[in-house]
Amino acid sequence: MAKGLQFMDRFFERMSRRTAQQVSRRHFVSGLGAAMVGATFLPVLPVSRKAQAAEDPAAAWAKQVEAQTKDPRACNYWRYCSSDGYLCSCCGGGPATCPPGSVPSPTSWVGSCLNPDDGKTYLIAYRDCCGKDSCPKCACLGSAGEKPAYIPQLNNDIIWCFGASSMIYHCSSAAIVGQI
Amino acid sequence: MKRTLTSVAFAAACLAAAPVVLADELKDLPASAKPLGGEQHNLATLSKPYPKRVYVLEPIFPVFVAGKIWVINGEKQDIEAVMSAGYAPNFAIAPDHSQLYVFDTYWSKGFRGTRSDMATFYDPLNLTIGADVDLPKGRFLVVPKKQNAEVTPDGRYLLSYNLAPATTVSVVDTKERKYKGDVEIPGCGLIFPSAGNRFSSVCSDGTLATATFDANIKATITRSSKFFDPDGDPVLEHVGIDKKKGMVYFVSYEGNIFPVDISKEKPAFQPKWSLLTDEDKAESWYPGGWQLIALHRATQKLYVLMHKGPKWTHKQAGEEVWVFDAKTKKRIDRIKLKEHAISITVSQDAEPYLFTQTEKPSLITYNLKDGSEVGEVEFGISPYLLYVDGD
Amino acid sequence: MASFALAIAFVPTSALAQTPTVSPESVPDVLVRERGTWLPKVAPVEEDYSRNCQGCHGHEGHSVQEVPRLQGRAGWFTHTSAGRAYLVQVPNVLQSSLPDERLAAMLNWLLTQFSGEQLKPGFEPYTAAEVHALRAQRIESVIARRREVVDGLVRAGVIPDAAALAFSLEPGRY
Repeated sequence: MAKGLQFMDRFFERMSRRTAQQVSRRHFVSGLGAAMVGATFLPVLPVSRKAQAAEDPAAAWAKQVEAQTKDPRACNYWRYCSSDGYLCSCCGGGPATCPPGSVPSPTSWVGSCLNPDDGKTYLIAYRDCCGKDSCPKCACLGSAGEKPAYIPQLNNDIIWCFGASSMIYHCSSAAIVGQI
Repeated sequence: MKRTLTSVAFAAACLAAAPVVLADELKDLPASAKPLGGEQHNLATLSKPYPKRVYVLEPIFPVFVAGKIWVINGEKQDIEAVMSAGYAPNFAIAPDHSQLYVFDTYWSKGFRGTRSDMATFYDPLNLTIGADVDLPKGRFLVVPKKQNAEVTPDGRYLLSYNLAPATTVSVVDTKERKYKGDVEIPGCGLIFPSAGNRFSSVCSDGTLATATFDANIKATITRSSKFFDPDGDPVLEHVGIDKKKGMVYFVSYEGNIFPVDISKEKPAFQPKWSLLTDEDKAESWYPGGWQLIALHRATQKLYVLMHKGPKWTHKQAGEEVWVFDAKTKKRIDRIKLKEHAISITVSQDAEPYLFTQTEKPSLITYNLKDGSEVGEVEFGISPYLLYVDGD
Repeated sequence: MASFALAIAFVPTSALAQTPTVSPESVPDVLVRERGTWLPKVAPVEEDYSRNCQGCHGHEGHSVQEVPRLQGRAGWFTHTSAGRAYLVQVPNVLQSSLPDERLAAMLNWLLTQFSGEQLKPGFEPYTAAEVHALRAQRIESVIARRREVVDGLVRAGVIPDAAALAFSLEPGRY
């Protein structure tokens, strides 16, 4: 337990320096997220990416954390704009791979993030890997477009393990559903 | 050996007031088992409830399968006890302080096997378990939120939210210590009890549903019209609440307060008001955190965790606590926090303290008379929810 | 594992040929390129389904035992007026933030996509006006209403028995 704490201390210090954000044990402060929750469409071809960034929180998040598309083990990997929990990438899995011995949950909530390199928005399925206790590495928290749990389809606090062999949460993944 | 000594010591302590008396029963024990002279082990119990005792519910995220509830002496700034709990647990205090309730989920083989959900009844002073009542429909598994488990104002029923995926509330009779049934609340969540047989819930379309149930848990549901905008400005899940009066103060993503009177069968919605002046908005202040708002009932003051951040940072820890008069809707104080905090509560006495759960993690207490720090207690890895006697 | 791979490639089975896709080379993401994943280009109506329904109901309209199966089933409900109303009045549809027009479009898409063969012959697509009117009436007990509607479908000879539309109302206690 103490070892875990020391790790987390060092981890969060690193993350703090990198992003100059306040970082908590469980929550990584990501900043912003997609406001588009079914009420309006995202413009397909934004006239000005800067202008879009001012209006679109998913874009603003990507800008604020300097989102990148190469390292899925960092909280500022572009898909994690609304991810909540420990990254499967740091636990022997990946954003679309459950670690050995865990069980992918068929259920999830679906959000969306902006890819900083092509300026396009992608639907992301935030599926949990389940069946054994937490893998306590790489805690990240994004809240892009995330709503309270009375709107479950848009909430990331829920243990999205319905349908897995057990409802025990192991880690969080972020699979791309498609390009909008 | 230690265990034998302790049990023998208990026996010895039970037999006589004087610590070092060997009763006849002990003579047959081997010499190694005979208690040494000196101290006999005794067992502490909690003192009677008092307003500044804080119960801190900790889902331990790195070891989520087990949780804890820390009992903190807010006056002496000390740990009084720690309770064990299960997966994503929840907690409630009987209004008359006669029981503590823990809502637990376990698996028969630790992290796998047959699942059981239950409401566990604890004696509030010696923290022994009096009963556990099975919740056959299960319970909602989520990062713990206060309003997913409640007790009716008369203490008669426990109400435990479930999403499976139908949204219902399981009802447990605390007198009979039995599960009685489930109330369906289609498309809604959270529990705000308003009477012995009535509670309200927030719905995904911005309305408030009110369920009234009979002894057979047969319920009728009524709905309000839309009172908040779930798309642009949803209300957050932790509230300022006066359960005795039946007042709920919702706080929203954009920093609006929605006061709702649930004391009668039909909820009455008071006009919303903003926590933010134009200057505050220009500086990008937003409410945020987890248990981010508290109401001091006697003075009708609202305390809200605030941080600077754009919208959609609603879980970001607060750097300040702003104090509002709920009647005049004006801000009357700003408390700069020594450490950023995710959850707050206030004691409900005449000289209240503000308890803040920081990210360190630690519980930092402020005297609300002058905003001075009373103390800091460090414990746990990821404590999350704060409860006080008189909540 | 297989279901995971399927979930990534959100390709509706009945419209395989028509769904536009995006090649892995054009997506700047280390994993998409590594795995050579073809991603679908999601149309607006599919996006509405994805954000509001797919998480529980699945990208092919079926998921876990506690979640009502849409694939091969939802169409039966269009045979009676009670069933037709029920599809709009289930709480997560009725209370959805989608405006009536988009909700109607999504329901029509969903029914043809997942359950075209079960639709009432001469099925009339939902209109915004119809959806608007139906959304004004809430169901108090979804469990009771569904039972009534299913019994109605059995009486009307649409399905042989209630078991044809059964699903587990008990939470999966794994």
